Amino acid sequence: MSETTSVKPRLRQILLVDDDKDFTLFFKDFLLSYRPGAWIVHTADHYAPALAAIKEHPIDLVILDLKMPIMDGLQLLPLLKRTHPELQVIVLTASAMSDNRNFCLQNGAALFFDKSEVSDGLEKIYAAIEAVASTPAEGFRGMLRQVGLSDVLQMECLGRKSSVLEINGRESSGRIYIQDGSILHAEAGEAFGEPALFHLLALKGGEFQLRPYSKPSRQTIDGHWESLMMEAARLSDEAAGGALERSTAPASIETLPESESPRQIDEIVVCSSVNELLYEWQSVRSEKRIQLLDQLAEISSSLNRVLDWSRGDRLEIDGSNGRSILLFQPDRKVLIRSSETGRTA
Amino acid sequence: MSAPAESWLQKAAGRRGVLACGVRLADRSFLVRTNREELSSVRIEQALKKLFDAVQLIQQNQLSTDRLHWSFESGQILFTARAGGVIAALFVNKDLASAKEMEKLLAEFAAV
Repeated sequence: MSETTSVKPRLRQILLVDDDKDFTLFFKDFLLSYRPGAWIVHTADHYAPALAAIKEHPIDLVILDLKMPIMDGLQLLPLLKRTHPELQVIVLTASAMSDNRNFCLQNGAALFFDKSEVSDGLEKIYAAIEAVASTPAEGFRGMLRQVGLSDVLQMECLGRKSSVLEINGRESSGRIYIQDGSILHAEAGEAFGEPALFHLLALKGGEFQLRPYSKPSRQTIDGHWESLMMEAARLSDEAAGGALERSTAPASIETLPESESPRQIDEIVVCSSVNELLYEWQSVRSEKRIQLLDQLAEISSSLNRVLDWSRGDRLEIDGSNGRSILLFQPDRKVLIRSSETGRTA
Repeated sequence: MSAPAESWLQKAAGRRGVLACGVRLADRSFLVRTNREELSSVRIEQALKKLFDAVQLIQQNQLSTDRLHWSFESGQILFTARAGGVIAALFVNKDLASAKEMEKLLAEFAAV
């Protein structure tokens, strides 16, 4: 099996949601001919096939009409942004009144275009479409050096999420498919399965994005995610020259012993270096959590000064009411609390 | 508590990868064993005070503190807190210490 990797520009996937089938066909032809090979175009004439397409494919951009049967675009837009916050949406409508424009832009639309102004020449808005499709809305985006790729993967698995982790490193790129917290498939260039997974987890820098789950072409991985992550850590250590020492010491020293039981994430808080709340999920006391993170970060610095051990960037707390992982990074602090499934703290 | 804690410290200090170990007792006194000159008893006592502060904060946030694991670039602290402000901590070289053995040591302390 070859592990050669190469960077191939990913096709952008666009979904046109409009009940005017002639216009949809016109738009689709335009996209496919204006920049051949740049787009995969999906179409839907009302909300139901649109939602199905979003579930089935990793859509980058939705072009949404407002006037549609059953559920119009004014209802569909907030629903899309609630259920798929990472989706970029451009509204393209003949109902371009200012009320509609304001509503759409306030509810997460990236752009709002008057259909009557562009129907004679879609090239007028092509650059905008391309730019929006290339920029994730609120999808997770970070440098691997700052937020560990393995941390993100661990969060997805702990939370029993389904997603596609798309990684673009400096030298290679790839995808990891996660379904209900299990890693199903990984691909990087021509490599696939565990070699691809380990290769991606060993990347030293790059960007990653969490995309909506789409079914992989095949399943190449069936191991438990915790074992896979430990093996990845071991291989990474070996690559760094620590093979001899590691061979006599289990890699699990990096983390507290994992329970065999499936786990669920109960709470997430992310704050900036100046204690601004950046993100919270199911935290009923985020202010208290930020205060805790700040105080523990200070203690971490104090311990570093006392022991001269350099930065302390990770504290794991295991107890009867669950496990918490606290990360102290230069630009942010993170708290993730989890418990065994069915034992919410 | 002092004698069992002393016995535990002696056992812990002999384990591979343990650079130092210490206990904060309920009367606020400290027992320390160290295998490294640079990790003096004074430093370990200071670290145990910081760990006690951390445990207090964590417990105030309704998070239980059965086992804690603080990772630094050059070492790790594995510690556990018991009622009455008692804390036991292992200061380890992460490349040499066995996770299972360290967990076992902390579990033994909890049972003392």
